[in-house]
Amino acid sequence: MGLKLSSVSHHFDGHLAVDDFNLSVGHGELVCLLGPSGCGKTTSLRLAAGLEDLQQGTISIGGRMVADGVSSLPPESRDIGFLFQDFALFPHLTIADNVAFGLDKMADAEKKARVLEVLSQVGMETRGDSFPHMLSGGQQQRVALARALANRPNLVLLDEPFSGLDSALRSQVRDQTLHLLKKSGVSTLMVTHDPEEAMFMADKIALMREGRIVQFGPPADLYCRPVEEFVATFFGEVNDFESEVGSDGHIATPFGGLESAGLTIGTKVKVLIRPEALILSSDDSNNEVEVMASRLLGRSSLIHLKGGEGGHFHSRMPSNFLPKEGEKLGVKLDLTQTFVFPAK
Amino acid sequence: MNTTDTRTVSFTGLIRLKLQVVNGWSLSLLFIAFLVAIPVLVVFGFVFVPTGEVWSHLVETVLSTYVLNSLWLMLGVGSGTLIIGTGTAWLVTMCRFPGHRILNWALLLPLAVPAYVIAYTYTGLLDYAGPVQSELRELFDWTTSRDYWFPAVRSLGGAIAMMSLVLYPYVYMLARAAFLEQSVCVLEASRTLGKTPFQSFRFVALPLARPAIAAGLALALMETLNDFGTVHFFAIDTFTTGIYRTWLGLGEPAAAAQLGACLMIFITALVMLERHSRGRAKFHHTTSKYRRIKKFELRGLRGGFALLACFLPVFLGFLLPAAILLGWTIETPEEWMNAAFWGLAWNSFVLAASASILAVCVALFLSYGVRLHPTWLNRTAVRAASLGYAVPGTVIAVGIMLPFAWLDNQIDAWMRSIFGISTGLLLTGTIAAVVFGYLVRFLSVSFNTVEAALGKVTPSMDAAARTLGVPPGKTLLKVHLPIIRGSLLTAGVLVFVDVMKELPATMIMRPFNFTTLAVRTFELATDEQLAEASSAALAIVLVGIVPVILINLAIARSRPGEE
Ligand SMILES: Nc1ncnc2c1ncn2[C@@H]1O[C@H](COP(=O)(O)OP(=O)(O)OP(=O)(O)O)[C@@H](O)[C@H]1O
Ligand SMILES: [Mg+2]
Repeated sequence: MGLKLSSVSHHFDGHLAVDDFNLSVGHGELVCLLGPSGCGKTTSLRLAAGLEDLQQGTISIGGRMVADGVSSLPPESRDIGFLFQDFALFPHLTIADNVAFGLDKMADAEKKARVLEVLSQVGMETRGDSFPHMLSGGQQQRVALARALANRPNLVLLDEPFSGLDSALRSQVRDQTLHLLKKSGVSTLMVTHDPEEAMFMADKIALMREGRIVQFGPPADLYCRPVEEFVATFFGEVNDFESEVGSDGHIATPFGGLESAGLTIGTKVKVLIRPEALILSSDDSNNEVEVMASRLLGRSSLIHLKGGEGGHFHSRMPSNFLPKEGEKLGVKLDLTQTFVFPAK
Repeated sequence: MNTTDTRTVSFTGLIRLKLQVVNGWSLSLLFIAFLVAIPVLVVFGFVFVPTGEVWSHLVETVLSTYVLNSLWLMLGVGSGTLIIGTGTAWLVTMCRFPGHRILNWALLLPLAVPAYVIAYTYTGLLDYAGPVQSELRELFDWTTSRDYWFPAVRSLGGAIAMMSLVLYPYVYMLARAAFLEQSVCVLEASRTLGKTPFQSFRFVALPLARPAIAAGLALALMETLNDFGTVHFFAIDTFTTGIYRTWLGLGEPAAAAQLGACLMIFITALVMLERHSRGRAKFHHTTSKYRRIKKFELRGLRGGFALLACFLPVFLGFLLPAAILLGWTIETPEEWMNAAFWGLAWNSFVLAASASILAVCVALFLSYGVRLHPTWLNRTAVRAASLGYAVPGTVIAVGIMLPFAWLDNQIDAWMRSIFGISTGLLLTGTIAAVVFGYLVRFLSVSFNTVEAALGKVTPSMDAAARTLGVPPGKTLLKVHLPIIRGSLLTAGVLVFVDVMKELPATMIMRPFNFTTLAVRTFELATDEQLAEASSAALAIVLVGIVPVILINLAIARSRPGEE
């Protein structure tokens, strides 16, 4: 087991930032901590690193208990690597010295070899004598990653490691980082607030809200089987409306009835439909909707639809699909991307 | 179930509280902070010691004079520094006139001259026997002082003028920084709304800069209250001279401490005022965009006036006194071309160097300790330890001598009763006691500098080092020290120069027969040997120029947009 946090709670001056938090990262697994701003992601990560004193719960790394709320190992004894949002390279040390910073226990020759090895893993072996300020943002990120991995830690913690990079660079660095982490086989916990990034990187995602984990599982689970409305909406825009379970046991929608999934008759429900679940075509005339506007967004088109009594829906169709305003189209519902939750 | 939960929380909470205090860094931090705060605590403690007759005697006779003189002095120096400091700061930041670039930094030069030095110099120049009056008498055939009127230098007014001339740079420095910081946009907005440049200054720039100006003013006033050399020389009885006299003249340490406590209550009010205004200063930065200030061109007569207004303070506060001192020094080679003078210089150097090294080390330890464990207790302790700058040297001296003498007596009595040996005075009147006094007084100078520098090292640096397996102490050595090296040097230099200039605490606490440049200057001047005092005074002024240069460099570096 790479990392295990059990019943961890943490408050700042009475404000509960992390609330009864349970999470485990398997050996060699990459887990993403995802959630909106201020939900306690960074705090959880810092607790795991020992940069924040644990108040309640237990934390173990690599099967070893490192903090149990009474005593705790300081960060320097936890055998971890931490990649900071601002990279935190030491400005007074060269790249090579930065990477060698935590390698005190190695003999000089071994140290040198190891520095060269990790630097070449990130493609920076020629810049060992440069200083941090002479590198670009992407290069600094790679050096910081090399530094975090240099001592072969049990666990790597990454706090929004790509947010300091511009978007063109980000996808490239993201890709390299993923492969390097996977190749080195280290257990990783990464924080992000970008669902797409989480799905790109993660073996498993833990979605957080207000200090608690809402759902934990492989990305496909969270995307296709959200346990509550918050999860479905967090992964992208949805069409939502209220309805109720009719006397025939079905839920009425402008696009046909839905199965009630065991809910009793008369239950008020919230229906969530992803735009890509509204599949438009000219031949299907079972459920007709009227096009209000359509726009090409690049890889897909967004079609604004009028449906039911004053309802307004978005449909997302692949590539260039641009029906005219006022046109009537048939719509088919993709049930794997349609979710029903009891209304609150 | 819920109740058990809460109990576990509060139980572990308790252990955590204990752990916070018990860890080594916090413990040493609290100890050092306590040590440094002792003098202030002692002085305050004496408020509760009854002194009976002495105190009522003081109240009946001299106390009202002390209070009135100190108040007049503060009022005068306050207005003087405010007008000179703010006015010149506005002119050099916002206007372009002949010489504005040189004056921009030259206006800081009087900072190098201690008030007592400028007082001796002008006394030598303007006194009855001085060259100016002699020249006038010759010119107009006057024979005695009754034949003409000439302003007396040795007066309250004279003291106000002297101190204003060397203390205005505090206001100037902070006001200038505030004006530079202000977004030019607000001033331009004011202009487009139909205000003249002067009205924009009056209604926009000045109110915005008020917290900074107040902070500068508070510094100048603290220095005013701290001053001993000037008022003693001019025979003006203020709190500071009163404490000195009650202590050494009347031999009443408790009453002296109580006078000190009165003074400190006064200063506490000042400090709180300054804190209050600084608190609001946080809301200052309205924009992060830096726009180069478009300077207002002053031509012809107006340019000339601006030049004169900015040049006069530099001339009167630095150039003239420095030139006079230089002249006298050249006239009296026997005073400094001998081993005795260099012995004095060496004494000053040793004291200043050891105090500045100590002050920087302690400041580094305290600020790093708070960074590691920013608990309420630690922050309060450190704040208390750096209050010394607000406490006049005389008061600190009293606060140190009293407990040290008591401790000496205890040790002596104990040693005599056990071993039959008299140890005499082990702490009182030693170099160590003097250096400790400097530490108490100037710790905040080094602390502020070091803390600001540490603040610029992002916390993720610490975290990075820790997660890479390096413990806190080693992190300080391997990461922070190399990064903030330059600031440590600056902090050291600032303390060094302050110690070189320091007079009252040194006077009271120095070992018997141990003299420094400042003390020598004071002694000779008190004997009316003003020319003879000039070489020591000049040495102090020359050393004092170093921080002026440092401050200018720092400002130049932090303001890339400023020409
Ligand atoms: N040192 C601190 N003192 C007081 N409150 C804090 C501190 N650090 C975090 N908090 C509070 O704890 C909560 C969680 O903060 P945290 O930094 O973990 O959020 P986050 O999920 O990382 O957010 P973001 O995505 O914006 O980085 C927030 O409400 C924050 O205000
Ligand atoms: Mg965060």
